[in-house]
Amino acid sequence: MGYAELHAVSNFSFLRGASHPHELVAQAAQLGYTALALTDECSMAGSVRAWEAAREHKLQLITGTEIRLQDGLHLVLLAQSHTGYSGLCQMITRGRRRADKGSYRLERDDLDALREVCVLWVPGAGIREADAVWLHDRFGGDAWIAIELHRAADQADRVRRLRELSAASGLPLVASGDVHMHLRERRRVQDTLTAIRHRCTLASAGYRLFPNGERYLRPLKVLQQLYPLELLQQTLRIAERCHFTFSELRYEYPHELVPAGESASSWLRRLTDEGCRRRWPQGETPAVRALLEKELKLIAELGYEHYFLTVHDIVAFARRRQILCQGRGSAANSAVCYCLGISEVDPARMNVLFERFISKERNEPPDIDVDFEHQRREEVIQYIYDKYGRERAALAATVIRYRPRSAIRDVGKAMGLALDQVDRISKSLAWWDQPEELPGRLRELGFDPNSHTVRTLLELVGQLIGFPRHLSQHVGGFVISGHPLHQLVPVENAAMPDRTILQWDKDDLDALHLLKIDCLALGMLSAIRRALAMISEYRGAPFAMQDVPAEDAATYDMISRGETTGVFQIESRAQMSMLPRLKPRCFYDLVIEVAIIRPGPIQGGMVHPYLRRRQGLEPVSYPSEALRKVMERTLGVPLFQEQVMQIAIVAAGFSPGEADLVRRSMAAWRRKGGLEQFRDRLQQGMRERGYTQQFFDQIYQQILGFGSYGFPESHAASFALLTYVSCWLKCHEPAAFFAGLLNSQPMGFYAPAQLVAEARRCGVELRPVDVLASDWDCTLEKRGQARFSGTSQEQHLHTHQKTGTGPFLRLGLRMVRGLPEAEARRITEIRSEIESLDQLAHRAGLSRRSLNALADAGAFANLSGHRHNSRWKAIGIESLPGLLAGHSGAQQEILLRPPTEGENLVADYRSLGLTLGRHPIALLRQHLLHERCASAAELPTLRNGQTARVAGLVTHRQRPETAAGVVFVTLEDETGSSQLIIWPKVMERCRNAVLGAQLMLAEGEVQIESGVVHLIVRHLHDRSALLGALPHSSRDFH
Amino acid sequence: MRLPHLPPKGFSPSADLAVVATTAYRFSGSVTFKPAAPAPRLHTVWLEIGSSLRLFKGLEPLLEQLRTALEPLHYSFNTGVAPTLEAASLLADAQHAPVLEPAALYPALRKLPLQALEIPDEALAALRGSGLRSVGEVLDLPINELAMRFGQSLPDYLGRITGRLPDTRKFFRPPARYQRRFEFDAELESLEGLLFPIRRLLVELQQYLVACDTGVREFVLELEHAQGKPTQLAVGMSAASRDATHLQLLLRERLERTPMPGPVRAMTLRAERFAAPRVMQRALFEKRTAADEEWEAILDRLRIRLGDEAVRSLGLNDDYRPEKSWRHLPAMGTLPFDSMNSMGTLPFDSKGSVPIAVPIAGPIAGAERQRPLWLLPVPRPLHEIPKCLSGPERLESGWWDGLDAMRDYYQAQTADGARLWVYRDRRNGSWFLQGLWS
Repeated sequence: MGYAELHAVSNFSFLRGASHPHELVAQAAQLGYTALALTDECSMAGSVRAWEAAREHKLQLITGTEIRLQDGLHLVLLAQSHTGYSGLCQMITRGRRRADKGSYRLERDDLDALREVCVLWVPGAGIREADAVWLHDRFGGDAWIAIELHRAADQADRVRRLRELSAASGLPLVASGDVHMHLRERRRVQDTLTAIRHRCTLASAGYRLFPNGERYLRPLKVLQQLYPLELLQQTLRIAERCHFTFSELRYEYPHELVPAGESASSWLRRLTDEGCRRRWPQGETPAVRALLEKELKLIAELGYEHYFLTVHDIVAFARRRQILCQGRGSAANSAVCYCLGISEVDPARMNVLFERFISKERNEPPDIDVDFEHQRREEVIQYIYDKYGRERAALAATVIRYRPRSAIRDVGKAMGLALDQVDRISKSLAWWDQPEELPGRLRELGFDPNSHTVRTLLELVGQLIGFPRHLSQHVGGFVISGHPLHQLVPVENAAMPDRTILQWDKDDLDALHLLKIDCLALGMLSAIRRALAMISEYRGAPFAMQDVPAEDAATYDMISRGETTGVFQIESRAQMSMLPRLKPRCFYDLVIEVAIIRPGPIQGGMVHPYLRRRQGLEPVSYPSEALRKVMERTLGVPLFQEQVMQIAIVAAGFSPGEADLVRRSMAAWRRKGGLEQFRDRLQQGMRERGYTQQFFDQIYQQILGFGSYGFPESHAASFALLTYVSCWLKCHEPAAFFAGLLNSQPMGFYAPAQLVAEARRCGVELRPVDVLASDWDCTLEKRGQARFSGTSQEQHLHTHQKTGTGPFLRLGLRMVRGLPEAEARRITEIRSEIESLDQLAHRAGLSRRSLNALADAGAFANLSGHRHNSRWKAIGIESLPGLLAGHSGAQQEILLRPPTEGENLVADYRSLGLTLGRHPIALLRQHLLHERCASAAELPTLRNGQTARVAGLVTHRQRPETAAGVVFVTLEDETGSSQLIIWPKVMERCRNAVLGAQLMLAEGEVQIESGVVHLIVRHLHDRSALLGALPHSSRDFH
Repeated sequence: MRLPHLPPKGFSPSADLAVVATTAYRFSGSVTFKPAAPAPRLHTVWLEIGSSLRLFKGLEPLLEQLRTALEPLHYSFNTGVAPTLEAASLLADAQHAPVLEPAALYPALRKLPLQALEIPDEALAALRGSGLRSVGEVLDLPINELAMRFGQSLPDYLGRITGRLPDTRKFFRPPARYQRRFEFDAELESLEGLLFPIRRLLVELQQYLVACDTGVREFVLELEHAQGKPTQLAVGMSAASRDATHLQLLLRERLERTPMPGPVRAMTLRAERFAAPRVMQRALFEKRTAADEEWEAILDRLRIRLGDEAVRSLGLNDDYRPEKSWRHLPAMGTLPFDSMNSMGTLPFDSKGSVPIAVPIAGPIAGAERQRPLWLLPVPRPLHEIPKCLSGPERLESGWWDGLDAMRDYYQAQTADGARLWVYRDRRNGSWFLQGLWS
């Protein structure tokens, strides 16, 4: 006796199903079911996962969907064939696209186009006979009446009535389970989800809950007791008719990029050759030519021409629009991509082996991510939609899942905890807290972790974490297809207007080998493009990324000193403390630097061995001669994802295909586990080849580390190029570099205040925001160029900076909070004819709000004096009609008190977010001396191990997952930054100060290692109150 | 006198102020008030006390008595005394000592911080942005420059503060009809919870009655619920009263006898019929319908026969567990049927274990026919396994309150033909009687 469950929803029927798709599949296989249909409500979002699991468990998976029409008709639709499946996808797409995100609307007409589907009718409480007639007319032999028995009181009566109806209508009966969970034990989760869905408490959910937990995958024995045999056998007949599987899906690339008369191959070759002439006007070297030929041959063999052509088309569009972009990924760093302009990594300039990036053995689709300037990526996205149409291009989905905080909030509310209690619990969770820390947190909040309520809460929260909650859009992963996408997968609305998403996420696409192009937003590209444009203008000659000189010694000197604030990728405090030890001297060192401070190498314990070898403290050796080739470029220490895969091949005897499976599992193991099988094979393979247990452990740990964030060499190489370019700019053109950064805010690790402070440390002379001199953007000003030199009484420029000869950096009007761009642009257009504030206000049509914003920013200093005067005059401007406009009556001169330094400072921060005056801490220094605080600059002069106190503004708090609960805090004062290390014990004691302080005073032990200074904190104090007192306590300099 | 946003939230501000003004009316014939401007600002009640000083034997005794009179209303407040209304407000905010002489006013005002001024935030920000920090600095500015920037209203306001301009306002008279509404932050379910706000309302009514020197003959308390019609409690007295304690006693009795169709989210106290109070008498419930009387007579007779506890009314819960699908309500003093459609009242003999009637509802298809009308208050264990006619119906629910039910229900029949509704507890296999068909 067999059984096929034909009606089962997973937790991808959000807030209904209480089991993951793979749990349903595994349990169905375990119970000996013949087949299982996953029929999530108007969705295919869980179907690929279920299919993957079904392959693993050798279970027949039927793909279908459950829908409720607007008129209440409740159906389960199962795909018999590819045609049937496409029909379902189209129907779902239609139903979803015409409703708000998260819901759908379907009418009977929408079923008209369905062919080759099996239809199960689930009659409601009141059995409408007309529906049976309609279904029989519409679907004939493809329709059944589903009998779903859950031990209700009227069960026998119901069976009898449906039998009668079956006889009368000619629709056969079939058994099905309306399964909502794989095990009966999920009943509590299912009830909780129901309460969450109805936004009520469990106690008040009443009859909206199911009366019992019978909607699970029931053992065959139980089913036999419940259902007449013929109804169970009917399930098998339906299962036999549904032979569709996802392996039948065929995806086709878009074809329109190849002009008539060309083949994809010939066209790609032509474009590559054109690019090659552009890259090497004097002709490429034979080595490059050989590489190109090899790559083109490989691409043709694998049939990937369309993929490269598609990426090329997008990148070419960006270049036409002068949007800076850069490709990365396994295929991006090929010579072909360099010629096509997809990447700027010049294979001749970099000693990296390119054949590694595409390989024939690994049957994976090529992977190219393209980063675009963050503020202009939307143009690219719209281009893709325009070119291919919404039918053929859509973003991949991202499955938003329950995290501890959201799970606590929802479960707590369902259990009827007061809202403030729920808030207290969920807010007490710092963003890094792990689920297992919950009981402790609850005890601190005064809950008894052993009480029934709390135990139930924790149990449910534990089960809910990881449950999908809704679909959101992927950051930029586009799927572009030759045919309408809804034949392949349903498409639905995203939260953003005019965005549509697939019901599949990137793992699903990966599993089906669908082409995805990631169009990502990268702030640093915006900053670099702007800096290059400014340099071109300032020098009077075009200056592009390829004009940045390679391997510049001064740039590497700067990097080796750890002076990387503001540059790409190596600007974090962990990177900065690594740089003086690593001392990068060439491009490949940067590639390593970009990749080494990552969970993979850290967790695998590779960082320190590499450092020691690099510093010559430990000899370079290899586990075997065979592995020398794999690890030579990283001194015998594996750092990159590709190396780990190579090790699996060379040292453990994996085939390239298997190694690729390891790679995919690395990315997925957190989601569903499944690395154990590789673990054993890896261990055995390595042991057989004579490698030590220790080496195996390292490699395995590293694989686990890559799971959370794998970092391949191919991505590191592309990133390192941007790192190098940004470093070179910072070193040689700091004014342009920082102006580019400021104009691209918000982005990056540092706020404008810190960027400006760093710019001044680099010798850039800054000029204040001034309506007579500033553009909208921050600009470069040649010395003596501006109408006003900027030495107004408003600013207190301090001359501790080095005096440079480079251009000034003039802050732009964009820095003024609350000033609309349009008004700022009008100011810059008309200001040459302006003599008074009154005229400016009138001619530029400035609103009162903008006038106030500019006055508070001190931007009128050269028109109307200090802030107080400016503000008073600004509010005195009358709006007069006609000829009188711009000629307000003479204002009576009033003597207003000039602002104190403290007042200016507070106003600067409030309206600009930064000050060109003294640092706030400088104003408090006298007070801090009484508190025996050292400055950031003094810390390195102290003895290692000495006790010290520092105080400063908190600029960063970090708690890397790899650092075992340690929190890093950066404090900034007028002399620079100090780095604090806070161990978990201190953290627990000073939690509020760590999380809440703006101005922090820390006491601890100085630790100096290779010129890197840390303070190991023992005590912390929140001194934010001092900031509030600033304007009054500061001394008056006038 | 300045009052913050009043602590027991739920009143409308002007109604609050009317209560305070009514109280203040005992101290001055000229009372006026102003509800608060946006949130951080305070409500204001002004009293002209120049002409009352002699009556109350000086400023301090007057303020003392005013405080005493306001105390039972549970407001917090500051007082300020000054020659002009606006200045009195500012001094009250600043908790400044009373200023009686016009000549002393200007120096006192000058030192106040800029933000003491009750002017729009925008104007305040502009003045701050121009470097001004005290009221004095603003008073020094030329009037025309201020008017140009902020409109004439600012100099006018400054003029009213200093007394340069007159300040004319309408004076307050206590209303002829009393009405007061109170909304709760959370819905109140218990009688005890209602008593505190009721006390407040009645104390206020008393203040009002004292100020108007009258008493009340009849008042109505209306309780609003989230759903359904409001519950009205009309209390009439044969003799007028203004004693809050007495009024509360009457109301409490009514309340205890009145079932609520649901939690209460707001209440309104209304009084229209006033009369000079006389000595209180005990004649309650003057106005009652014949039906009420008849019903009460029935209930009284039942109570005498069965005891008070046996007479209850019933309500329904949406809960699959049969013993949780209904609940007791206190017996009703008036006919309950109009306001509670889904409830019936069936008094019955009581020794604890005898069935009680429950009208069954709920979306369980066909359940009407599958469930008995008579359910035991507590399922009773069965020692013999009964003969089951039909079933099982499986119910699994209620784990969230610690009373998870996992049961299979059957219709069973005893040897003598009685039809029982029984279940088997799926955790331990024991059998229980849940109800029976008549």
